[in-house]
Amino acid sequence: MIGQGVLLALVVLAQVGDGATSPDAAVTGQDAGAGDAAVPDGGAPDGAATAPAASVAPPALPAAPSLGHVAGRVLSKGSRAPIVGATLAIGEGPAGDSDTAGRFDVQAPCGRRHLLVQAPGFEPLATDVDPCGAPAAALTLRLVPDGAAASFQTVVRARSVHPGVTLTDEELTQTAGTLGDPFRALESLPGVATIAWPAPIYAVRGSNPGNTGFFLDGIRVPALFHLALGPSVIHPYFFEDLAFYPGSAPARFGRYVAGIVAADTRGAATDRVHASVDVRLFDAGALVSAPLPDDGGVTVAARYSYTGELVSLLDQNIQLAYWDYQLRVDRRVGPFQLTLLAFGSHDRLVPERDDTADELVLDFHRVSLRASVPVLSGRLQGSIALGSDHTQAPIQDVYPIEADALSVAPRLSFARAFTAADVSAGFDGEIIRYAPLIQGDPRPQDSSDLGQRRVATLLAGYASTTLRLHRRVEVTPELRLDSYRVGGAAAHDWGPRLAARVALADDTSIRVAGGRFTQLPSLPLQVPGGDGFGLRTPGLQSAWQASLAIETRHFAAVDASVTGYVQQYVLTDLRDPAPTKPDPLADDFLIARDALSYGLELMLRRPQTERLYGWLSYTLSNNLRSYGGGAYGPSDWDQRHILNLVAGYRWGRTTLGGRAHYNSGRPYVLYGDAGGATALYPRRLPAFYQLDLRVDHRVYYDAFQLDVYAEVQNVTRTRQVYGLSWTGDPDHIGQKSFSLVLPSIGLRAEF
Amino acid sequence: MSCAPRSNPPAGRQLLADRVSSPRAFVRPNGDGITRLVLTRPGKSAFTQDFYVLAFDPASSAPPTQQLLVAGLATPLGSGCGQRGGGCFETDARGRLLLSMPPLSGELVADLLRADPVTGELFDLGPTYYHELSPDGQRLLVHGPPSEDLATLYDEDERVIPLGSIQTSTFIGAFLYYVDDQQRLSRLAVGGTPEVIATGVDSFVSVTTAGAPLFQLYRPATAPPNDMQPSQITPDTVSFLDTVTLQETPSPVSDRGFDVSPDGAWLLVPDYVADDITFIDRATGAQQVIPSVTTYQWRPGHDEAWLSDPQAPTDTIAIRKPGAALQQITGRLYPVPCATAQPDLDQQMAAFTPDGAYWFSNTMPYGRDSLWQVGSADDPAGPLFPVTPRGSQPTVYWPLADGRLLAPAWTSNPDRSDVYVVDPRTGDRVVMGEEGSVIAVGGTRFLMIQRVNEYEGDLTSIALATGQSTMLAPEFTLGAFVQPPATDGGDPVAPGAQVVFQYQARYPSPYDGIWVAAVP
Repeated sequence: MIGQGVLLALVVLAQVGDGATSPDAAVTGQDAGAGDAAVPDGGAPDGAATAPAASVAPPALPAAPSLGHVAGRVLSKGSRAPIVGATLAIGEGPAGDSDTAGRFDVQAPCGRRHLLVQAPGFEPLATDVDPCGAPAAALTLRLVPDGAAASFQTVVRARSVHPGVTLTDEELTQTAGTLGDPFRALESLPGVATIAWPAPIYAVRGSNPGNTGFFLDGIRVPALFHLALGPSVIHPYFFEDLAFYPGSAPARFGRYVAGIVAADTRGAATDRVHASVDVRLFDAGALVSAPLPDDGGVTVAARYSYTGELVSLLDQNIQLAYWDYQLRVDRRVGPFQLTLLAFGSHDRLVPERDDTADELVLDFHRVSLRASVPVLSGRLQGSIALGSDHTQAPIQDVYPIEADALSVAPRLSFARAFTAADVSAGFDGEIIRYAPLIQGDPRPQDSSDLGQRRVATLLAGYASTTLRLHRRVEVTPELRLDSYRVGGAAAHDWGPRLAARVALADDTSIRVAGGRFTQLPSLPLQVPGGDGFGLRTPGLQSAWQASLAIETRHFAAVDASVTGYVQQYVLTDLRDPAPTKPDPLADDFLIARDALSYGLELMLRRPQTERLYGWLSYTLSNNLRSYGGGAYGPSDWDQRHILNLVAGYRWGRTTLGGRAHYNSGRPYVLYGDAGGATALYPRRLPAFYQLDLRVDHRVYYDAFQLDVYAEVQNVTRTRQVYGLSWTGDPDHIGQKSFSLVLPSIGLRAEF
Repeated sequence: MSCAPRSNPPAGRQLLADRVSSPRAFVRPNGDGITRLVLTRPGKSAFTQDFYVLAFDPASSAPPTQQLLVAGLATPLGSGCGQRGGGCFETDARGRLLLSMPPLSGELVADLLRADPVTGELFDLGPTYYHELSPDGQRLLVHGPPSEDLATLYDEDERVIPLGSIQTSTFIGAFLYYVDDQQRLSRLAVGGTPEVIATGVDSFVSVTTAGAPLFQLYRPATAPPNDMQPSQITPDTVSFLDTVTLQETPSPVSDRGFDVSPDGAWLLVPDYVADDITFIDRATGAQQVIPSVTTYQWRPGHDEAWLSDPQAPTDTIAIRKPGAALQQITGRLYPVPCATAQPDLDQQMAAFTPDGAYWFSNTMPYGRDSLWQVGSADDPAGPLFPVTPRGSQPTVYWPLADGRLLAPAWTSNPDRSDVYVVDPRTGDRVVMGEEGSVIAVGGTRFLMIQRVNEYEGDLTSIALATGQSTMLAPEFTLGAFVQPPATDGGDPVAPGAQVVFQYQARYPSPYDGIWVAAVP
């Protein structure tokens, strides 16, 4: 603490030795304020007690040294962020700590002294000071973050009873195999099957890709990634964290029957202006976050891809472009904490410049205003989100379809914590008006309502409480009522859910979860404006989910969990997974199937606070479908074994990362005609493995830092087999495959 | 999987449980009460097949029996034959299969094999250039290789009659008509001897008429020298031969190509240069030239010719009736295959229903604006009603007993047709089946495979009166066909009729195989 410098009077002062400093240590200015604590040479400091007079002269004591002041700020080098609680030592004794603004002002005896500053997560900084020297500017001490472990803030947050994985910080942006996209980290998590790398299409626990919902601050995101091999539609550094629930998600999330990915945006900066600019091989982006006058802050991010220009250089026929933007504004107005969030995305792909009938356009925009206020010792939060979606796509190369949708999504929730329980209740709704336009389709009007004007009214209410029944037992019963109305069709469903955690020991617990979930019929992929249909024909999708997990931290620096799960679904499948002429408007494009998925998920995770961090995940699953006529078979996305090893190792300011992936092949049915006899030949695609490597290096400058990274996906150039071909002989089946190595390099400057 | 819900198996009885047997055809019943199916399985090589006969008693639950008929045949059956109601191969009146095996050398001759699925007897008919089966299936004429140029008749009475080299031949009624190398037109009845009915004949063409068969006979005017250029060859002389009276009359036209009206009364000579059609009375030679038309359709059952010019900028049809002035109407004749046309006109494209009561028009036959319309042929200028939606393409249609038309039409995939039933009197139209293909149409219901993806779909029986559907096998019906009715003109989809289908799930299932079910 400042002021504790008086204790230094009792220590033996040491003259500064060689005074070596860290190569990156930076000391700017020199404190000139020592003069106000100037002590006359040989005299006692001000306020110091003088020795009582005596008849016998006592032995001569050493004269109390004169004291001076050393003041300044401790900042994180490269970011200008103040370091709180940095320990300062002058000579061999502690001199004090930096305050919440990183400031310090300590007393020390005059003379040239050795100042040592230390803070967790930073390299120590040593320098020479003379508290009584000539007046100079305040010291600015910039500590270099320690390369051995990332500098993480400790955030105290209630641990959810619901089973899931949360990714934060560098796990979001530097995980190998993600190209820096937080959402792509999903494909390395347990329970997630990547249908055909590198396409970011994920099937969770035996469901279809369209059964997993993506939310950003509670707002449904209709498309997650840009077209082709594009990145996610949200700037990576706009995220605060990302939670993935492969099943049994909390009741505040609904309308999806499989996984939930809930990402939170980072609050706007309130301390100073932060900015970053990143340039990658495919695109460039920027993020600026700054405090607002008086209160709150604003964050703006945007990204623009020049892939189109690059592709156009290679092939004049192809046109490809995308961009996205994000905005968050935080402000307190009276008792209300307001948050305005806006984000959107645009993609356009024209495979043949002269044939705009094949043009593919995906647009969506969302703007949300959220207000939070303390009420009744709890917190009441309400929000309303407005959305606009637009998709233009060719169907069978014949009938271009434009799907437009406008939506309004109100949400209201209340949460309060009691001693023995946390309770919450809420309402969320989404009213969407769809206005598709199909040119020239002559089919009957009673075909799929995907192509018809309609209004979908989706309403839900939920209640949840977490009961702390015992020091070692937490139970969260929940209930969600979903109401769906699309056109003239309606459905309602009660969705009870239950999650519980029982601690077997301080470091080991059992977690159980389960419940019922419902969802409107869904396309295989989420398409803006391509949802909210089919209630009349295939009907609701549903799931009964159950899981049992054992988690332990018994092993040093490793979190381990084993989860067994079973999910029984009614899903809308593509009736034919390999149609030669897919027709999403046909009544039979989707079919409701009973499905069963069960398996085992293993996760060994070493936290990113360690020099070596990462995780190993393995999924063993069996994903089945009930087909027509009493037949059973594997799901079209079934991958029996999925193994991921993700690791990062910090070596100084360099982080080396790698990801090894293996998955067994998914089923593939071949239709063949041998000698005039048409038959089906069920096969499995060969297994696929890949190795991704990544290196990040950070260079610190006083006011900003520069990150340089390079990543190569599939360095082994493994062929991805995505289909089989008929050769006329069932014993000799051809393969459709490609071999792709995806490199990416980038620069990111942040201050 | 026992804990997971499971849908019902297909309806009916599973005859075979495998994924390799393909049903091909019902064997014509021989009265022994046993139902027989011909099925194939892949042979030793990818291009050969083994033929089996599967026999079962429909009144008994006894397992079916199998008999290998012939192994290792490289018979081209055509893609999916037998799987959409169509036949794969010819069968004669006794149900014997005619299997043609092309040589590997690429020659034009094939080896023809006759296999009896009841007795298992195989009979090699030898190298064959082509063959003809009489309409009743009782007589078989086999033309040998061109190098030998010999024809053999395998007759109904088991006689094998070598006919030598013949030029033209056809079965009509009770006779085989043929022209031999002596330019004699002869006819041969079962059990009879060849009867020469004309001489000096190059070739002949049978003209389908409402009365007695009428032949056009072609005789060379002069024997052309060998070095004569084709343009210098004198046209044949043409005459008509009444096959009942054997009376021969000269043709009023012999220097131009012509067509004959269905009743044989008129010769039509289109002139594409002058852009007209000349109607010539075959009996009197009287001529009528109708300008600005080049194509025509005869209205069945009526002495009416509907004439048009496809190249004309306006869609106008001229209707010619004897003794009446030409009637001009707006429209464009649109021939559509009719599934119930006469056997010799099977699938014939016509712009009229077989009874001539209605006509079809489509002013934009191709593309998104194509619209098939139907109107009363008795009121040609009357209203036209859409049969199928604009932009769809018909495949074939069935006239129903109640006067309506059953018309499948597809939009983007010929295997995926919606089935419309339209009343041509009122234009009332309903959709009775979706995204599939029709297997058979009966008096009260029809059978189709709906919602076809790739090759499979829902086998469904649909009532024509109400549209009520009954699914027999969901999702994975690979092919189906109905047992032909015992009598000509019988209802092939009558309740209780047997339908055989092949069920093959996407992944191996205990229900894979060949099933038989009764039409509900």
